[in-house]
Amino acid sequence: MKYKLMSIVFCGLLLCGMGLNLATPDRDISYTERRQLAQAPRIDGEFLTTRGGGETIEEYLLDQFWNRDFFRILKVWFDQKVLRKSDTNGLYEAEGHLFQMEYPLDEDSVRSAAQKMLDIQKKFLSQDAKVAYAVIPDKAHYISEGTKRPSLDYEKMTAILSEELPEMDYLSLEEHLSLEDYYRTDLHWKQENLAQVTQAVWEQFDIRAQLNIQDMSAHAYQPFYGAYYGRTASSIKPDELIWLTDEEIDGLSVKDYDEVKESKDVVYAEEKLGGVDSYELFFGGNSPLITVDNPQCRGKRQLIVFRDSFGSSIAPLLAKEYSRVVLVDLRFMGYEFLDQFVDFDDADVLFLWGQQVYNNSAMLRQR
Amino acid sequence: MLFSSVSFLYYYLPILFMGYGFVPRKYKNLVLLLFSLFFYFFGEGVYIFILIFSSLVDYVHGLMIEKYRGTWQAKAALVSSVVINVGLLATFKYSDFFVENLNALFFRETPFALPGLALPLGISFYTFQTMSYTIDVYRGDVKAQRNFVNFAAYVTMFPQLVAGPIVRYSDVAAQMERGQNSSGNDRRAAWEQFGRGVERFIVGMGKKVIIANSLGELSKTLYDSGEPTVALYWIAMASFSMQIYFDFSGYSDMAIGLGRMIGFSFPENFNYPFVSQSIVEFWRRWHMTLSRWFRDYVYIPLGGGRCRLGKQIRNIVIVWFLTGFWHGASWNFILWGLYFAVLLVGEKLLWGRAVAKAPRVLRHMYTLFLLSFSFVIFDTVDLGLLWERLTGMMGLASIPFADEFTLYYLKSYGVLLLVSAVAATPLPVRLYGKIRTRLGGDMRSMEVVEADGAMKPQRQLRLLDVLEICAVAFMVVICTAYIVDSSFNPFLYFRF
Repeated sequence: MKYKLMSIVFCGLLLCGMGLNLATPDRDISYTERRQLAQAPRIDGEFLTTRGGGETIEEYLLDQFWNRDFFRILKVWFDQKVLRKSDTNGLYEAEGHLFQMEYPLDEDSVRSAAQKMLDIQKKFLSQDAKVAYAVIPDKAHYISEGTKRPSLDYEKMTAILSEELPEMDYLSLEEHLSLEDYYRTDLHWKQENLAQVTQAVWEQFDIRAQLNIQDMSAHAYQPFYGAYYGRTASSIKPDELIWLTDEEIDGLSVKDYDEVKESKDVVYAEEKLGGVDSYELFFGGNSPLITVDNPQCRGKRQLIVFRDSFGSSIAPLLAKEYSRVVLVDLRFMGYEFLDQFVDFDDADVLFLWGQQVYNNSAMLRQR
Repeated sequence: MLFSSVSFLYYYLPILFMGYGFVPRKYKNLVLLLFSLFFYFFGEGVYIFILIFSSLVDYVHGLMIEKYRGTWQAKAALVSSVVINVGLLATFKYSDFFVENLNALFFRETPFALPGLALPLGISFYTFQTMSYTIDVYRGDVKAQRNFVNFAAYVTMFPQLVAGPIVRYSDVAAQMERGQNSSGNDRRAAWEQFGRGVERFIVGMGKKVIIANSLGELSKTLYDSGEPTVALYWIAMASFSMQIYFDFSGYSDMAIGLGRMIGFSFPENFNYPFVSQSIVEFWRRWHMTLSRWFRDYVYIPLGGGRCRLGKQIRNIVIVWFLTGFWHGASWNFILWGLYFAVLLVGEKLLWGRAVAKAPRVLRHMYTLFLLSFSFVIFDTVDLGLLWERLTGMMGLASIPFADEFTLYYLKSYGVLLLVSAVAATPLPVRLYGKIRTRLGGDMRSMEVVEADGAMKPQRQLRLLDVLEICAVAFMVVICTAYIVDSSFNPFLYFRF
């Protein structure tokens, strides 16, 4: 009787699973995982004779599995509650936030980033150019000691950089940020909390101005599923994504040099909200080169920011005191012939990357 | 196709049960063959022709050996079969290795291009199975199979096709021929046999999906960290050892379970190898079907242990060289095999008696200590890196004993490591047996003998059975969750 029942239960589960999977319509996008889901492959002669066709089908079946999110949450629950694992897929939850374990510090990578910065300075900048660099702390830097997991050593990273870049000004952002200035489910900082950081940048380049965020209009979108949200399955609620506008920001003129991007030449690409990555709201997502012109700016100053995705949300705020802000993303373009696209004369230059970029500086391209 | 995949669990298996369960007995082998071919084709595409070619070659050779029994033609057919099978292996598995080494030795200036042939899934297993068939027919241990469908169904039988256990034709000949399993039951999916198969399959899937995959992630993370410590090397070694055990024994459990579900009894492949008290014992418990194969088809024909000492040592070295080389076309596998040859010769001639007299706990420690290094050799293809890891483990490298990173992972995976250590011993099964016995039943039955001699089910036993059924259902759901979430799922033994 036991084995009969066991067999019936087992076969029943498999048959139910098959039925539910067949009956469930395919989805294009997983919003919680922030990615496009695999679609049914076209099965033709070539597909059948090629090795690995089975893997393609399996990928499709996995992506389109009935109630996929429930099973992913269940796995995390089992990992954390039964097996008592401290992280899942390299992500962990602490103090109401999700964190990615980034470890260890790759000192060679940090030194290599510094060398590239020096190379750019030597190649394109005059002796009296104002150049500074900043390291955006990974948000794990702000967790209290008790709950901390292995993470990138911020002090050590900045010490290496100051050793390698003795002639370049260091702009410390550490004291202008706290854990609350980052999204709970994402690695990025919140635009609405960047007043102090923006002012610190301005001050670095001798601009005396006050940024009053409370005078700006705040627009909100939720649910914002951050980059970490989809890679684990936690009970943390999705974030609210806020972006700021005022007359000056509305008047910014944007030129995006990415030729294949759909949403471009805008400060806020609102059509990106609710898409695979809502953070692409800022300038429509990653781009190798963007110029932002502010016709309302009184002066004629230019700021060149070598940046990663953190730079997208702060750029509209920085642009309030510059007639032009140039955003260069060396992850998508090499710097060797940069002077063909960017005018470095009399420009303020800021290297503004997150710790992850310094720690993986091979992604910063020369060519 | 992987057993622990959505395509297998939620499409292939239900359709197989419907197709295989309801066809008349005389068509079962045909249906099994068709399903097995599809199983292989799903992952390997055109490589299925190598499998069909191998089946055809050994089917014909088997018939020829039987027809010309006792003559030189039979011997020629046997040699031809062995040459073709070894040739297939040499071509698809070892050609890159041979060319690479020839280039390194003789053609450094103008090296030959590597053939770069992809390794057909399971080729190491099915060539060994078909070779055992022709050898057994030649020896007269089994009769040649005259029905090609039956023979091809044996060679391609999906549960054991790609990663064993190495099922010899003699193991299943009667079941294939008469449609019965070895215990004499009808081969149709009798509930008990099917249920026991389900139980075994689920245990294997849990081993693979929950334990082996997670420990695989751990050892990879530790080795990739770039900040080695002595403790890190030991934890990485322990997690890899457990990974490979649960991966491979999990696969064998699934194969044996599936075999039962479709009415076959496959030989056991593992018997708690980590409780061994010597290296000799370890190899009686680890990958038993492979050891048995080498013993019967290489070691004993070479003279085994019944010859003079020098030859005995030679035989051990040959067998373990081949065992190592079978595991992979790389020097670390050869080194791994020879490492065991040295240990086995040592146990046979030098320290075996001393080990046997030592207290039990010391015997376990001795075995585990020597096995630790074997798993590091097995896991490390780059011989330079191997030296680094071995010296690191022994504390001979200038690295700290432990650091924050090592301790974090030890804590994070502590429960899983503990669970895997306990699950690698017979303790859980013994405990379960004791509970059943205490409740008045035995391992097999849920009924108890009352004073009047009548068999009556007991409430506690029934409850235990219900719990077991719930556990099976729970494991199906949890394993599905792991499969859906994880992309880190390859069976290690698929590469062999």
